[in-house]
Amino acid sequence: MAARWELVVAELVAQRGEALVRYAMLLSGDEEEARDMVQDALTATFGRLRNGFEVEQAEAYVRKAIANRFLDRARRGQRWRRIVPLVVERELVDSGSTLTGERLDMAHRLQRLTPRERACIVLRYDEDRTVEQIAAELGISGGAVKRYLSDALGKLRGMLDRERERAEREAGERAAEGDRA
Amino acid sequence: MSDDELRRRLHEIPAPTARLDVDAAIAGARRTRRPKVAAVTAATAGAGVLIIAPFVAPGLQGFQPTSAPGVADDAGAPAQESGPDAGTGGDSDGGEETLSGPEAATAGCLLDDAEVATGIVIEFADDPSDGVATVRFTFPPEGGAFGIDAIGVAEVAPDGRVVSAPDPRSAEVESVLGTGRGGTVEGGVSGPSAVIDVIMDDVALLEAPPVRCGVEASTAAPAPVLWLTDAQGRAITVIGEPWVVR
Repeated sequence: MAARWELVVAELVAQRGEALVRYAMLLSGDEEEARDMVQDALTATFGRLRNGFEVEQAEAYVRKAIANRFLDRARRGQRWRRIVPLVVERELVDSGSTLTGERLDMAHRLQRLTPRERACIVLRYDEDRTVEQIAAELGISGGAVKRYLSDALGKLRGMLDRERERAEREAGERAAEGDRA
Repeated sequence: MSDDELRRRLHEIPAPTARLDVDAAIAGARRTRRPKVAAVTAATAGAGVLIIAPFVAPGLQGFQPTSAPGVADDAGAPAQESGPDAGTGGDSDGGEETLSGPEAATAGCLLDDAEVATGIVIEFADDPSDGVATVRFTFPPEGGAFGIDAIGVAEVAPDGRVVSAPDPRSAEVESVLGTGRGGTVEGGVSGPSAVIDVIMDDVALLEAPPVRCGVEASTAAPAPVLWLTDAQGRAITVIGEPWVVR
């Protein structure tokens, strides 16, 4: 007979599996990587949690483990990035190709934020968490969360402005070429 | 971009299919749960018996209890193999001592597992080899709190035995005991305001001369050693999870 915690794992995956993978994908930008992160997070969380918890509690721990893995990897990458003269933007955003058009653009924009900015944006605007909840989830102060959110929103607005200007310029160039033709 | 627009755009990003492997998650969790259960059982069965590093790094071999209940004077002594330089007080690399048995206990090679002793999982979140590390404390739902004197580093073999640990008799360690200079950490779960993790960034690790614990191991992983004061004012020294690159 399966142990109680094993039933909780199965129930959690059945009920919240897609939501967990989506959360991991918004952070990592890659569906396959997101699945790996969730899989690892499930193993790590249920390898540690003792008995007497329900799906909701377990989900909070798994989400926390996902965020930890994402931020840990980013921290480890920091040293490497310091010696790389150019920041190379990720080429792959949606290995599952479920993202197209504006959705793909939005996922691209998220990837251009720093890991903590991205985590704060996803938790605040996709998961609808309060600043205090985000601070607790990421283990940082409320002030730091506000700063990351402000910086991230500034960057996202800047990206949108530049994209709009580029689109207008390209439309103008196309119109001029049409006139010449 | 307004808050609502950002919210809408994020919500429009669809969820990929989950395709998660429940059986693999359960099998992996079973492997890491088993050693902890063994440790807790042994600790309950033998009052006053120390348990040596009763944890296992993911993917490494299973836990083997290193102390038998009822063995008091050699309590918790690791099942150490005597290597070429094993012994009592013998000098080895850089003047470090290689110890076993009661000397090892005195010298700090017998450390309580942090999760068993406090209920809190303590681990490095990045490589501590440069003397600075991020340290994560993962609290159980029922929570906990303690003060930190200092955080150092021990080396742990794949089977969980301590290979080397900071010498508790060193001036470096003695100078921090009871100071609480590492601050306090507190967490727990109570509704949406849960504090599951506390992360301490850029912690300067205590550099104390290590003692070698007479354990032969071809590889070893760094694990945090913490000098703590619990809520009852008791001083305890614990060892956290070994740091492995994930």
